Amino acid sequence: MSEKIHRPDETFYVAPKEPPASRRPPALTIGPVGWLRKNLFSGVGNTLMTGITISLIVAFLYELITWSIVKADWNVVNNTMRLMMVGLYPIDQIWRIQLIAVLLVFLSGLGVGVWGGNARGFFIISLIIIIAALIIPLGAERIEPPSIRFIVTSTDPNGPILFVGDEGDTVGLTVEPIDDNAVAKQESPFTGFIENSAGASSSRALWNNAKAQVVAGKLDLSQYNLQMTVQLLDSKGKVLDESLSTPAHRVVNFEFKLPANGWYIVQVLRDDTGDAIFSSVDGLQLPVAAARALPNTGFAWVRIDGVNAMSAQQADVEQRTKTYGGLPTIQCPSTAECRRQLLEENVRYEGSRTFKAFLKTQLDPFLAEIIQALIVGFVVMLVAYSLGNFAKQSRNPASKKLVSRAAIIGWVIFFPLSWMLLSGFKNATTLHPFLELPQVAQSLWGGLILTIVLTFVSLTFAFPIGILLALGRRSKLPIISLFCVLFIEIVRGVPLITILFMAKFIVPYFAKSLSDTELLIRLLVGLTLFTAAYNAEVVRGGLQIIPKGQIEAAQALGLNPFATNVFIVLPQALRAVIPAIMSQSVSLFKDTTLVSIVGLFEFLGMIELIVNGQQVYRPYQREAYLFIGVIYFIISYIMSSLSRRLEESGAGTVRKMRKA
Amino acid sequence: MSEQSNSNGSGYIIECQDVNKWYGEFHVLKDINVKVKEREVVVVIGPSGSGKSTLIRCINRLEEHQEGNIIVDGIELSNDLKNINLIRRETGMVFQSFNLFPHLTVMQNITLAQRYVRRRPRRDAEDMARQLLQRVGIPEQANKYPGQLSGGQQQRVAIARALAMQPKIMLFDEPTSALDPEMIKEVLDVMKELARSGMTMLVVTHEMGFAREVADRVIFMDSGRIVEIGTPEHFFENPNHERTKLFLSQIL
Repeated sequence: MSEKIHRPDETFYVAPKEPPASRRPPALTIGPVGWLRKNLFSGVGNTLMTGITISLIVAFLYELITWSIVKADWNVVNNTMRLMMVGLYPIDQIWRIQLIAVLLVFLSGLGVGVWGGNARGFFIISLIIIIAALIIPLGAERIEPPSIRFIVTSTDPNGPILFVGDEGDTVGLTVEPIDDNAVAKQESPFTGFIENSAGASSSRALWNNAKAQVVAGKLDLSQYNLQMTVQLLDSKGKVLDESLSTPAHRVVNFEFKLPANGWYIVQVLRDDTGDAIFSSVDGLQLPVAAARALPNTGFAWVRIDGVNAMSAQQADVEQRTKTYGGLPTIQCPSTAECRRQLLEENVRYEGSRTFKAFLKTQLDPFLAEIIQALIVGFVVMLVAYSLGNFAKQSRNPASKKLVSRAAIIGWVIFFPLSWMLLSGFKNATTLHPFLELPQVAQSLWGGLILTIVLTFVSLTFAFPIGILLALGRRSKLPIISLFCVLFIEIVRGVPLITILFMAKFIVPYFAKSLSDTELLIRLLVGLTLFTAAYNAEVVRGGLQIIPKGQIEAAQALGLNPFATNVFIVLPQALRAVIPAIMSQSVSLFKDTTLVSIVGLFEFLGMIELIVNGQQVYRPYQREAYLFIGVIYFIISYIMSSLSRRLEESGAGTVRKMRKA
Repeated sequence: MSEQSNSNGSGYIIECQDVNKWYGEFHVLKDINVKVKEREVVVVIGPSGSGKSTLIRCINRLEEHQEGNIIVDGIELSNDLKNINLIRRETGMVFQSFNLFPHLTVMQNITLAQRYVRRRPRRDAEDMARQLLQRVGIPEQANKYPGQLSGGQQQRVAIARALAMQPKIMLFDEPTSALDPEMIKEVLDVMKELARSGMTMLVVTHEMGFAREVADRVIFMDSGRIVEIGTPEHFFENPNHERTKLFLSQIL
């Protein structure tokens, strides 16, 4: 038939009774290979773009990650965690915030359990986090503590330095003379921690100063003429071991095994006399160091090995006092220096560090801060998840309904309850003892918890107000629609910061009765109205896409306008605008940072307070801002994944089908 | 016509007297006078833009007429919202584009108005829905969403949704125009069954076969006027008006 020309009047094509068997598509067009070919390497241009983009991403991430591990000093985060998270909230009341967090985790777990969803991936991620959280600090225990150096100069003996040690620990003390000008000209001549307590006499300041002078040619490090005794003392001031470093024998090094748990002291006695030193052995005076010409010149490092820098957190200080006793008092030339401790915030990393050192000195303290919370969180989440999932799997549909209802009620109660827990009651003592929650002034709220309060309270109220404004703007009554249009346009025409300033300064000026209202409430009202105006426009966009036929069908069935809106129009319109509403919400979450300008210290404001207000943390702005950037990203990410889940759930014209 | 349940006793369930309507300056309905008896099936035909849809949309007040009276089941249509809702309760409507609620399942589509407007308990509403789905021939689709159904199935759900309110009158606005030829029949079969069961029906359609088989009377409209009213036999075999003859010659 195929060689004939097809003429309808002569022959007709008739399909064979058996249709041709299905074949697989060509191998190179399907599967991962097909995906790569189609999406990443479909042509020269595409391949080039892929290459450039991937190299850019890799280069950026490589720099960021190596810097984070090798150079950055995250102790600014580890040491100020409480301030960043809860601000000045009283320490003895923090359990209230912890309770809120536990409730939140419980409700989330219950919700995921009973309403299902992507439970498996969620479960696997949780497990990975648990295991990582458990393993890393355990492994880190076996890692050697880092070396810590402090500088000795011809004018500044820099010590004594106090630390705690356990019985059997080996402490090493080494004198490393700095007598080579070339070393000082390198950018990072050595790797390790150096003492960096505040002030011009910190090792770091002295060393930087010396480096600058060498580079300028005003200082010659090879003119080394230092003589000193490095001593290890116990808490009573008794010398346990010592060693003499002279210009002739500069490098000295000794190790000492600690006899007991307790405080120890490293002290450097510089010999400013220039006389020869004799040591008496069996009645003979033997010269140890020859006489030398003064003055003392030069710089040397004293390196302490086998000792951990200590946490300055109050709880850790109390624990330390319990285990090792109080701070020893020792005699020393200048009283100000005598109680200098080897605290984490007094040492700073110089040069680059190994991954092991990163685990020990950076990640371990961080995990130590959060590990308990992490474990409690996971346990609570798993319990709640199992409960919800058990009800879901149960044969009895009533139990699913019960748990599902309990979860909804829990969420409804959660927000007012959290507010109550956070703020407490004015006259707490006169209430039932169960409710004895002393009031915590809102000016003490701060950090991440304040950011979250600002975001979620204003979102909760802005959403319904926005819907009402959108409906009002479409109203047939001109007065209502005019009011809504005016409100929306005025609020949208003004920067948020202006609204916040109005809430802070102008509202109390106009309305005296409102000046007593806490600033936080006034700012919340401002944020709420601001977001409501934007939400109104988004919702209006959603209302406009609902076909007229939907409303007519509802009317034809006898539904009144209220029911038409509630059952037919809004469910569809709101679902259509979930992405826009969520992006509005994420944007509000980030905009809350502006309240720090009008005097509330939310997450970003608190960080600024820490890095600008405390001298020890001033060098670590990069670390601090990177950390909060990551936290902001994580929370924004959670919000947008929630919105994606919402979009995929339910049904409707604009339902996004879930991928199989 | 044994039942005379309409309260005004005139014997007519729908009465339009000198109804006029304008869209802005455009005169869509011109002096419409129609009376429909209970249990009667009336088919409205005519070229596009002749005002057929507007006419039946005026009957349940989806469109507002500016002059004349429309009395449905003894209640006069006015701006009184209470009257409008009373009339809408008694009038079911089926649209060309189905207008099912896409965010609700078939079951929810059918039970929503029953529960909210008729205040029927959930169980009764669902029983009613199941009976009606059985009647329109798709009992197995109750838990699907409209988007998962074919056009014919969707239109049958829309009919079931309107019937669930137990209306006295059913208005059909070109119910088969948006359907594939293969699906038109399943919808027409449901409508025929409904007509046989004695429902008062006012149908705008281009299905002449349906009109000929089922209609008690046929109304022909052109340019907002009623040109001719008559029995199908009279209308199709022996129309009076030139305009009707022209129309029929073009479509038959």
